[in-house]
Amino acid sequence: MEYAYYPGCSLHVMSSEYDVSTRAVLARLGVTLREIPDWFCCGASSAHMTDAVLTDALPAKNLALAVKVNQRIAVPCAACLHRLKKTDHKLKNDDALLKNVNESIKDNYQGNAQIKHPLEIIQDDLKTEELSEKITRPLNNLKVACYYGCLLVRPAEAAIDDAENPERLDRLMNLLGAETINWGFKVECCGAGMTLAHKESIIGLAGRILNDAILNEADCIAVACPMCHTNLDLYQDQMDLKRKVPILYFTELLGLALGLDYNSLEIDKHIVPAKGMLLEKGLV
Amino acid sequence: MPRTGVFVCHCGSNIAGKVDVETVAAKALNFDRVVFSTTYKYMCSQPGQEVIKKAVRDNNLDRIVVAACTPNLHGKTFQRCIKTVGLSPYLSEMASIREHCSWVHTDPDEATGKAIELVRLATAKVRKNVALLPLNIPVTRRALVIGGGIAGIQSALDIAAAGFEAVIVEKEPSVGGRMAQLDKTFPTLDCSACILAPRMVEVATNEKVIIHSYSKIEKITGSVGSFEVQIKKKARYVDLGKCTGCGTCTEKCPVKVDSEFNLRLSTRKAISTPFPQAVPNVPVIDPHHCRYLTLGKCGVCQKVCQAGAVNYEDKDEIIIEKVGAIIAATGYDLFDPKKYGEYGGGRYRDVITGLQFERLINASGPTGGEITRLSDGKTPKTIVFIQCVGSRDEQKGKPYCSKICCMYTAKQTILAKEHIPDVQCYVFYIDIRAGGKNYEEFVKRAQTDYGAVYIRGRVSKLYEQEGQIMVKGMDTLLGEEVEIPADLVVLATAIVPRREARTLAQKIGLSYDQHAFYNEAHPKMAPVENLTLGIYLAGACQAPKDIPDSVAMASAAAAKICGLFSRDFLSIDPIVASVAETCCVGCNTCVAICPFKAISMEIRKDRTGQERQVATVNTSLCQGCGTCLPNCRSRCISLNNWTTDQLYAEVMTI
Repeated sequence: MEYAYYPGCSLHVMSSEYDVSTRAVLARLGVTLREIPDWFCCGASSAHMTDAVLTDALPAKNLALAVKVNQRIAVPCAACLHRLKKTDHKLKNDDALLKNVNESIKDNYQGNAQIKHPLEIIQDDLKTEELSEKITRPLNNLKVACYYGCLLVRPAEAAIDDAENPERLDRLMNLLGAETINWGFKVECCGAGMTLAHKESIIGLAGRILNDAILNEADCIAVACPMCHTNLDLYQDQMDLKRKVPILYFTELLGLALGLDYNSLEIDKHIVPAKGMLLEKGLV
Repeated sequence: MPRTGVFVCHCGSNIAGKVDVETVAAKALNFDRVVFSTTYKYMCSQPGQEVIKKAVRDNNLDRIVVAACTPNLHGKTFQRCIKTVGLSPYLSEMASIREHCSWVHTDPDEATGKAIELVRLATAKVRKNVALLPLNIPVTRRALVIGGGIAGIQSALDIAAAGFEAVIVEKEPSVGGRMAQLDKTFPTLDCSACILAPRMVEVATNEKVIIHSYSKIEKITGSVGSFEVQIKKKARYVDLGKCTGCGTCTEKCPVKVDSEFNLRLSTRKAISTPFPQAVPNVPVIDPHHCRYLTLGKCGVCQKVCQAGAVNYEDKDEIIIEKVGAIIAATGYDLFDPKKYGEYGGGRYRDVITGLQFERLINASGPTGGEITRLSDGKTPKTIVFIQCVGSRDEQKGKPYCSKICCMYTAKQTILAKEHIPDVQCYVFYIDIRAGGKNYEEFVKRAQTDYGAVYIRGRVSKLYEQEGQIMVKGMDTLLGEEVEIPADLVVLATAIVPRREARTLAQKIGLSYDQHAFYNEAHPKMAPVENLTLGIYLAGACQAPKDIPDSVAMASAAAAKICGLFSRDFLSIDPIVASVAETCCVGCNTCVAICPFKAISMEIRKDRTGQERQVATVNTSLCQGCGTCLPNCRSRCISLNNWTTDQLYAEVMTI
C-alpha cells in the first residue's frame, strides 16, 4: 500500500520525532510513504484568517502536487489535515470555486484526493488481525490518557472522529494492550496557537488537561497533533502539577508495541522525559 | 340568463395597498353576464355582507363572485350571506386576489392585471354553477379516543357525560399516560396520581366508556359520521374478566426486566402491571421475556393464579368499532439526549432526564421517593438542571420551545429542596417562559423560598471528575465562565411527538407538521379540529402542552363532537363526484385511484338483460378531491360545480 506523504512544517522541525515515528511504524506495517516533491505551506493558522484566495489556493496547490504522486495522501499533522480536508471538501462541492482555484494555482486539481490521517490508515485500511500479529511488546500495565484536541474532530467535513467523545486513539491503544482512562478532557482546548503569543493561556488551559490526566492516574498522554504535543509538553515545569506527565505521539507508543528500537523513535527529544516511565513499565 | 354581481374587497390595505380594486371592479363590468360590480373595505364584515345582499335584491342578481381572500377562509361566509337573500349558496365563487395577488406580487400594475384575470375566470365559472342541494349523511353517535392519557380520559368523560359512547384505545396495558409518571404538578404541587387516579377510576367504571387497553389502531376507513376502526387487541395472556388483580403472579414471577414505566431506573417482572393504580388493574405477560412463552418452561404465574386467569394460548385479536368522530390524544415522547455528546451522550449515569427525576422523587417510584445517584446510591447535595436540551436548538434539536420545561424544572428544584433540605439546586436557562396563572410567581418562589440559583446561559460541557459531574457553562449575565461540581445533573429534554405519531397519522389520514405534531385546522379559529373532517385533537399530540391546557383542549374537542352528535344527520357539501352510468365502461381505474375508497363497481342490467359493471360513488365518502376526473378514460365522471365544462369555460375566457 502506498501513500503520498505530506509531512507539513511541524514534522520537519519541532516535531521531527512524530515524522520519524510515523514513517517507521507505517513502514513496519507495510505502508510506503512517498514524500510529495516541493510540498509547501498548507496555510496553517494564518492564511485562512487573512486571505480568502490563499485559504484554498495553498492547500489546493499542495493537493495538485500530491495527486501526481498518489491520490491517497497521508497527513499526520492535525492542522495540515484540517486545512487540506476543508479545502478539498469545498472544491469537491463547488465547481466554480474549483475552476477559480485551478486558475490561480496554474494547475489542474480534479478534486480526486483521498486525504487520510495515519490513524485512519492504520485503523481503516489495515486489517486489525494483521496489526495484532505484529505486536511484539504489548503496552500492558500502561495507563494512557488519549487526547485528541480540536482539529482532528471538528468541523464535521474535516473530522476523523466524533466531536464530543472521540474513540479512535482509545481503540488503538486498547488494541496495543494499554488501558485508557475515561476522562472529560479528550477534546478540551490546549491553547492552540497561543504558545508564543500568550504563554499564560497555554499554562492555564494545558494545565487543566494535564491535571485531569494526573487525577485519573494516567502514565502518559497520547496525542496525534504536533500542536497539542507542544502545548502539553513545553511548559509543564511552569505549571502547578502534582507530577509531570510524558506526552507521547501515538506513533511512538505504536512503534514501541511493534518492537521498534527505542532510540530510533527519538522519544528522548521530548521536554518531559518519558524514558523513566517506559523503563518502569518494561517497554524499553 | 345569468346575472352575475362582482364584489371586490379592499381587505383594508391587504389587497387595496397593491391591487387597484376600483379598476378591477370597473373592468369586471365588461365580463360576460356581469351586471353589477362594486368594492368595499371589508367585504366579510357585517356591513360588507349587507352590500352584497342589497346588490342581490336591487339588481336581481342570481350569482356572485367575491374577489377577496381564499375560499378556505371566507367561502362559507359568502355562501351563508347569499343564502339569507334566497340564493343557493353554491351560486357563489371567490377569486383569490389577496393570497394569489397582493400578498405575493410586488408590482402594483401586474398585480392588478392578474386580479382582473382571476375575476374573469371566476365569472366564467360561476355562470355555469348549479344550485346544488346539501347532502345529508347519517351520524354514528359514538366517538373513538386514541390515547388514554389525561387528555383522552377527559374527552371520553365529557362525551359520556353528554350521553354518547366513547371508545378509548390505549397502547399501554393501563390508561393514565404521562401524568401517571409524574410526581407533583406545578404550580400548586398537587400530587399527580392523586388527581389523576379518580379520573382513571371514573373512566373505567363509566358505562358509556369502553376501554381497549394494550391495543393499537390498525386501520381506519370511512369519513365523518361513519368511521370504521380496526383495533388490534394485543395478547395479554391474562383474562381481563377473570383476573382479580391480586398481584400474586407478579410477586412469584422469576423474570426481571427493565421497567419502561420507570424509564429503566428499576426492573419489573415479565408478568406485571406498569404501576400499582393501573386501570385496568390486570397484568400483561411480556412475551419477549416470559420464560414459559420463550422457553416453554416455568408456568409459575398460571400455577399461583387462584382465578385461573393466565392463558398462555392467548392470541392477538382484531376487533371493529364503528364511530362517527375521532379524537387523537396520543401525547408526547421526550427528545433523546444521546444527540448531545457534550452532555455525555448517555455515558454518565448521574446525568438523567427530567422524567427520570419525576420517577426518582415519586413515592411509588423505584427508590420510594428517595433522590439518589444511580452511580453509587448516594444522596446528591448539588443538583444542576439544564433547560432546553433539544428545545430551541436548530443545530442539534428542535427549533421550538417545549413550553413546560421552565415550569417543571422550577417544580423539581422545589421538590428536591423538600426532599433534601441541604441540597443546592442550580438551573441553567436561556429564558424563563412562565406564562400562565400563578406560573411566574411559582418560578420566583423556587428562587426566593427554595434557594435555587438560576444561571442564564448554556452548558457547554459535562464531564466526570472525582465522582462528580463537572458542569462547565457560561453565565451570560455576569459574562463569566462557570464550573459547578454537581452530584446529579437533570436534563430538561424537549417534548417531541410520540414515535408512532407519523405512522398513525398516515393510517388515519391526519395531517401533521414537519415535527409530526398533528395539525389543527386553523391555528386560531379551529385549534382542536384537524383538517380531516370528523377528527379532533387533544393534548400534546398537537404541540407541547401542560396538564391544564391538555384538559381544556380535551373538553373543547369533546364539545365539538357533542355538537356533531346532536343531529341525526350531518349536512355536508354536495361537491362530490358522480358517474354517468350510460357511458361508464367499467374499467376500474377510478376505483383504484380514489384516495378515499369512495368508488366501487356495481352490476347493472340493460334493457336486453345483459349485465355490465359500472362505477358508483359513495357520496358520504367522496371528499370532492377530483382525482378521478382526469383519470376517467371515457370522461363519464363529473364533479359537482367543478365540471369539465366549467373548467373549459375558465380556460377559454383567458
